[in-house]
Amino acid sequence: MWVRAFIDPRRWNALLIGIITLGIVWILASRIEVSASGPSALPNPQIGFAAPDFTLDTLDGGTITLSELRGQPVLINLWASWCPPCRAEMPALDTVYRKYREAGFVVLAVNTTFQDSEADARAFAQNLGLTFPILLDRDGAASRRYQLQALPTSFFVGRDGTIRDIVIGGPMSEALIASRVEGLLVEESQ
Amino acid sequence: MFPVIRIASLTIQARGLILLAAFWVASWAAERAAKRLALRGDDVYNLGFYGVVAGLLGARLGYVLQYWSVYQNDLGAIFALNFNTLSPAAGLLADLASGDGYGAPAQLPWSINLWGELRHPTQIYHLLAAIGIGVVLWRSSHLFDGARFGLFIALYTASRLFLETFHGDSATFAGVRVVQIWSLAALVVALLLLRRWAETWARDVQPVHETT
Repeated sequence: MWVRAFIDPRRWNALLIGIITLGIVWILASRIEVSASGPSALPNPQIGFAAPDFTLDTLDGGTITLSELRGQPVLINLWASWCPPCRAEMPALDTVYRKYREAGFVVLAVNTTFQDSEADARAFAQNLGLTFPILLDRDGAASRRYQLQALPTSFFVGRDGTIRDIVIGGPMSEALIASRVEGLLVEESQ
Repeated sequence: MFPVIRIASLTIQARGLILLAAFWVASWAAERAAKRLALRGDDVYNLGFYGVVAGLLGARLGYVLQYWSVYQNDLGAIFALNFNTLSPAAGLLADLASGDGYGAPAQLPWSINLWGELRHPTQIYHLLAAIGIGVVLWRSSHLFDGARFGLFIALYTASRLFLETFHGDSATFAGVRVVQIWSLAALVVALLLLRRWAETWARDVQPVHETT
């Protein structure tokens, strides 16, 4: 019976010392190289992995490539103009963007244009006077690469291009966005 | 991976749904056990509920303290309920931080392809360990107060300590996986408690017969 090992002093000492020794040996044996715990080279829409790259046209006629923003914290927000929680969180996104823009923070609002319309997206952005760039995912390639399952979905990307956090669904509150952004800004750039 | 479950136009966060289901099953089992121990089932049920509320409050408080600079200007936001603004390091959600933890890359017959690489199916390992622990606890007799509780903590922390090695997302400190340190510490505490309770039981209630 297992209780014996706890009552008999000899067995108890053996048990305790044995478990502590085994535990420490196992912990030391399963240490990992510090370099191996760094950002994974594989791009995946998952926390701890490199953010999948994309190049998309913006609403005002330019193009933006994610990988060119390396060194700056980025919030990628996938949205559609017909999605109520997406619309609801846009003012909070804009407020946080204007507050932290000077510190290098970037918002990429990726409109899922393949299931929306460019005209609706434009009307919505102008209506609210959004100051961050609106990107147009016309063929849905970027949305597929980020395995978009629900709108809105937000990816918080660190200065090193690694995804730090993912928020599925919304609307996100201003406090939630701001707290995540502050977390990204304190990271040292590489 | 299925972070969300879609039922028609309704999208539900799978994590919350599974937690809710687990809480419900655990409450049901605790209520049944309470009847056997001649405790009032309602009390046990309420205890579980208070535990969840306290865990939520603690987790939110942890998050607010961590990002005080954001909340100090917007105190109302402290009370806005949102799953995403709970501290994973506090209270109820303690285990969730590595809960959906994926495995380290490995070429094994039972590896699963996840995030572009063959990996240890750590979720399956944990599931099997949990079933094993459940069976042991189910079959262990009620010897003294706390026996099952202590045994559960000891077995659970031992399984965490062992299985964390196969994780691919461990938080580390100087290369050492932090979860393992805490697991070993909690394991030793559980053993010390079991020792104390077992000694009391042997002395006061049940004379020890060396022949059995």
